[in-house]
Amino acid sequence: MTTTRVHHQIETTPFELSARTKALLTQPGMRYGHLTARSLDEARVAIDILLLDTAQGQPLLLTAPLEAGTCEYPALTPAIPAAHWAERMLGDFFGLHAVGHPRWKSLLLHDDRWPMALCPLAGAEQATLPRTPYRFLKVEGEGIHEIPVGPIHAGIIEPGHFRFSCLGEIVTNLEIRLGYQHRGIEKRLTEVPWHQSRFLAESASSDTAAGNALAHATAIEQLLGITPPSRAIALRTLALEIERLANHLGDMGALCGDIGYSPGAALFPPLRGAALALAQFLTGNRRQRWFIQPGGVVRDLDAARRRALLHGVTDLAKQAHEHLPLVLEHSGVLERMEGAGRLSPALARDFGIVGPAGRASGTRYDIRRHFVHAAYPALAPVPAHRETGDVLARAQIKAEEIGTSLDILTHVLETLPDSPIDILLPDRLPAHAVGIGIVEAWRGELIHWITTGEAGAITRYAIKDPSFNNWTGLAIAIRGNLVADFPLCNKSFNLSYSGNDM
Amino acid sequence: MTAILVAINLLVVPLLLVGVIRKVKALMQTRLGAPILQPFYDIAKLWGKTETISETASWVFIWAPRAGLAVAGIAALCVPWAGVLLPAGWAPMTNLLLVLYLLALGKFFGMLAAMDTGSAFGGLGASREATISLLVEPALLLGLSALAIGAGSTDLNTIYKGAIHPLVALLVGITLICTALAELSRMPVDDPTTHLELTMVHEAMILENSGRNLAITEYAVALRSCVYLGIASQTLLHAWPAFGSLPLLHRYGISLGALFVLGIAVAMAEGVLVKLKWRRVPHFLTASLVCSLFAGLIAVAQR
Repeated sequence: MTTTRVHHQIETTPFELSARTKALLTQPGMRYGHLTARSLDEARVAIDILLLDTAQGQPLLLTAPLEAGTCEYPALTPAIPAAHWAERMLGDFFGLHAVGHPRWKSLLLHDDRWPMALCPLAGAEQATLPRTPYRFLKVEGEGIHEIPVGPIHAGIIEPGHFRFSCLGEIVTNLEIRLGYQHRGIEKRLTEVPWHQSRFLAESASSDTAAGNALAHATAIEQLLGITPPSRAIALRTLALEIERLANHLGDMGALCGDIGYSPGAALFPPLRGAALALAQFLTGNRRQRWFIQPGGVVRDLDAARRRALLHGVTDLAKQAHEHLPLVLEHSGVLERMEGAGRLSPALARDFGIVGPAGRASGTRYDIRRHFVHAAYPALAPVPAHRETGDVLARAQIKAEEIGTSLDILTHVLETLPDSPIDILLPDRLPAHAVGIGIVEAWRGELIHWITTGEAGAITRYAIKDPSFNNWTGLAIAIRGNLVADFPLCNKSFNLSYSGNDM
Repeated sequence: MTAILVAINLLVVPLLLVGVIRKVKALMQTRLGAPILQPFYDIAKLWGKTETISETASWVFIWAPRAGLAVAGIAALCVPWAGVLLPAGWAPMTNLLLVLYLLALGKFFGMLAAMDTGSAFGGLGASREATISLLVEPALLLGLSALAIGAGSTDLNTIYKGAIHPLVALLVGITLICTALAELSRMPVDDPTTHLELTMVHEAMILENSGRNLAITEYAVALRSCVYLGIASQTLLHAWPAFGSLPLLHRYGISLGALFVLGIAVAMAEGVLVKLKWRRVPHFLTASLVCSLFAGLIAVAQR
């Protein structure tokens, strides 16, 4: 396996950016990855676009520096709808203005919480524009009523506000207002010493601790041009797949709970618990924190524990395969899930929906097949695939992935290579370099994108959680559905608030 | 004697039934569940709590639940749901049409209180409750009319004095159980245990209630549960010709037994059912309407 730190980088201007990106995206296998900005110095800022060449397994960077004194550039969203939230994020954090953006308003920073002129990531002398005050989209017409839900919800979940505009029981529009969990992680990651930043990076979204830690480690290793030992790679694969397994099993139970199917709601939480116990066995804690580090992992798996873990996986596989049909072959469950929350493949493609939700809507996109991380693409499974894009499709994808994760776990445990579990890291990162860790976390495409400046200091750390793509998918999927089906639809996406709010 | 039994019916049985249903449901899910007497503790706890009242609420929000409880109490007093027949002098109060619309009046008060708070969920719940009432009414009315045709009287005391044709009893019993599930906001129409406001019917209506107001509302629901399930069990029991002529205490014991069996059956059904899609609720209730239609036809043919 090779890691590379040389990325194909294209320099362009803000005015050509949209056309250049659009042209590149017509190449087969090319996907839009992320859009963000980065301060070049105190006065100048550059817009960065990350494209993912899935055919080559290589990221491709486009950089468009803005002239000093300007903070406006032509919006990409009209040409590339998937960039619509990312551009609004630039407005919040860099004070830039994407001219021609169809829904221009702030995204994460709330009007009553943060000063309107605050641009936390902009350089001190950079030209900025204050945020546009937030306005909910107003749906008008006879019989339209609004239902505000949240930010505080019943049950123990993260805060987020959902504004439904309904015609009777039918949702005509859903606007999702997030940002309540904004903690400034991206900025803080440029301030802490890089060899300790993994603790912060992996808490970007704590239910994806292994995924975030792996993306962070992959990005750092890429910067350093090192490859972790083979045993560490195998152990990381275990952590990543156990995380997927535990969360997907939890989702199956939660889906049952939302439709009042109590046998399913009672059977799956113990299985999720069993998967979390495997996680604790492997890493020392159920959330798998502090396990994956740049250069390897912190804890080895001796022969006795490897056998016990394998036994646990076999046991769990048996139970999962027994219980999954109880849900996915139950006529009442099928009736509730079929056709609910349909997200068409065309819209899923336009808005770049990733992970199980994307695969349920016809996308054959699984990072494990394309980009180097953990034991992938060597062990990459054939991606689960559905075209229907409804709740049932998303549930079926998750059920299938539970199976493939269990297979991968068994395979890795049976063929665990012998080697050290980590390597010593150099003291500093290379200067003016870019490292991009791309991981198929359990929700999908997770990107940690690190840029270094003078003396190897991290000058920009961007994290793109899969939820950042998929929240839009949820808002689209619920349109025209019964408002009573929203919780079910929401659970079938099960997105992260903290991962999105950063 | 009748007075003591009626007092037990009004004060003890309703919350006990709620407790039993919850316990069985918990056991079905391999949980231990709360003690059977928990609903009593809950009411006592709520009674001593301070109320939080929405700023947009008016006196309607305070008084509608009380009116609802009063109406439910009258219905529970008049309907011979546990085999205890009221003295003949009560005849106008035991008319099935009166009882039916007393129960409907109780729902009306519930909807008023829900819409008074200004919460979006209250309005949503009230709208759904009204839709369900609309669908339930014909089935319920037709089912009870079939019994009235059989007995030649709309007086419930008279109906539950004699025997009911077994086939009529069965069909009306099914109708009553199905409509009871809908009216009492139980599965498969509504999930009483969910925390998801957007999916709720009854629970969405009482989200804003707290303290005494909530205790009163919960108690009224327990009373209504007894009335609905009680009528259903009585109808089924009267398919047994000798039942009406048993001594009072025997009849009472068997009636309570049947009521709790029905409660347990509801809990077990909730253990395996999936909540219906909102669009499918009318189909479920149409099935019960069809049952009551056939019951009516058979009753007419029997006369």
